[in-house]
Amino acid sequence: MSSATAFSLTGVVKRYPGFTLGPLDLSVEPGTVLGFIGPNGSGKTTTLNCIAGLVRPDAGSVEVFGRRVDQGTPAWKADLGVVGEAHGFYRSRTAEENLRFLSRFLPGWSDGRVRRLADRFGLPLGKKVEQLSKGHVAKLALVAALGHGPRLLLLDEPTSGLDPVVRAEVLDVLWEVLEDGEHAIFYSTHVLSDIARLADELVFLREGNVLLRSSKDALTERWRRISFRLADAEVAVAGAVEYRRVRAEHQVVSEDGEATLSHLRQLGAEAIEQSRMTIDEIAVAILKGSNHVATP
Amino acid sequence: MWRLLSEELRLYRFLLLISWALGAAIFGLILVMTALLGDAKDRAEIPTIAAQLPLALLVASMVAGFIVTGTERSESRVRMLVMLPMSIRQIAAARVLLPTAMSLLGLLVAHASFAALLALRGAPFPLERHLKVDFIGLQLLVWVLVALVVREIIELQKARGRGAALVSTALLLGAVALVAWLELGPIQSIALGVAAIVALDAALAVFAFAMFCHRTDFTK
Repeated sequence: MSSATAFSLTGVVKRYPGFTLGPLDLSVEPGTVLGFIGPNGSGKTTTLNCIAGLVRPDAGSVEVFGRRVDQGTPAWKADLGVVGEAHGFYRSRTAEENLRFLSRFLPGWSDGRVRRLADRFGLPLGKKVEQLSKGHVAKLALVAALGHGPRLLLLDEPTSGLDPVVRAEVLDVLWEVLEDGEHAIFYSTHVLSDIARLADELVFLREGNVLLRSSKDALTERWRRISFRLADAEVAVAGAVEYRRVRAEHQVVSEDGEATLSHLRQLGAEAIEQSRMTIDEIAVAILKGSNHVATP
Repeated sequence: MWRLLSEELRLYRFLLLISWALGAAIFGLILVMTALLGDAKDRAEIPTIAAQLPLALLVASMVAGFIVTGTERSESRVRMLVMLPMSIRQIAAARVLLPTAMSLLGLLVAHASFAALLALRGAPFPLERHLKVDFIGLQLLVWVLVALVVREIIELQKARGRGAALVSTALLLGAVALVAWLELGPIQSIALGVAAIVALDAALAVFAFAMFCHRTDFTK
């Protein structure tokens, strides 16, 4: 098993007119699925493109399995599989011809693996890419990205355009990819239910900066929706990131449920009720708020 | 680099063959129309007109080159190629050489068809007339390479603003002015004219290569 970090970004900055990504410091160990969450235009795709070498950062460095991402020395690319917003396939050629094209260049390419995945996805390999549905093209992109058995998968909205059944199938395949513990996945999506199933860690990005990085379990453990009754009209509660009052009932969203509950007991709150939050709800609360800073 | 070039040529071989076939078919249609609708003088010129078939094949190759360059952009091909375990210089060279190779294959076929037509007419085919085919074919290649450079200038403008692309744009305009000047025939020796066009083709190819290598964004 490799001890190298699957990928690391150190002080990465990328400037566009009206938008700056970073400085970004981020690393992921093999065997980890990192969910990358953020609103449109927050820098998710730019981050992925920097890791994939598709965009050269203005500052900082990127490494993939200990090798610097440098277009002059391409060895690092063999460890990488990418499914992005565009795929680059030869649309007038068949899916099979496109896969055969890739197989000529990518060491470790397995026709058996590709055939198994294509069968599993029901991918019509004999059809021209321009005749494939959006969902089939997304499946082809995933098969192409997995064909050479890369140790790091970069996925940008990989299930976009897929029906729920195929989406579940795709997630199953990704689970299997992770089984040996050597693979890592960088997963950027708006479909938070996918992240909820797959991700070990979550990174929340807004306006080019990391708001928060946390393990998924820690988030779901800590974040709570809590309601209570208290005589005071308004109250500052420890850990609360959202607060509202509905008649006599106070409702808060807490990023530290235990701290909030403890504080409420001290305040003498009554009828305290708490419920766990889904990743969707937590993500919305984090991205709406502004009082988070990146964890070291 | 050579493997990428040969694989792409393999994928685009039908495009090239269809372009040639269409070029020849349109040319044949012109001959048929001339024979059917023309007067006696027009019909007498048909053998001379037929000798222009190589031009149709050269134009067809140029069109194929433009299609390859255009689909590379519309299908975000660079994105896929850059993910292959090859250096950016190898990819840059292959993407310049692909339309160039298609044009040169067209030149080869044009020469062969020209020689066959002249042989059918029992006419000699001196070197000078073949050099004219080269002169035309390599001029058409200039325009294919200009399209590649224009693409790179657009990418440069997007990445760094219009100001950053001023020098590149000026160089490109200089190259276009040069080819226009060469077309006016200031060089009397056809061999020297071909040499000048080859030099211009090479300069544009190196320009497109260098600009691609200096890109900061390979997503499209």
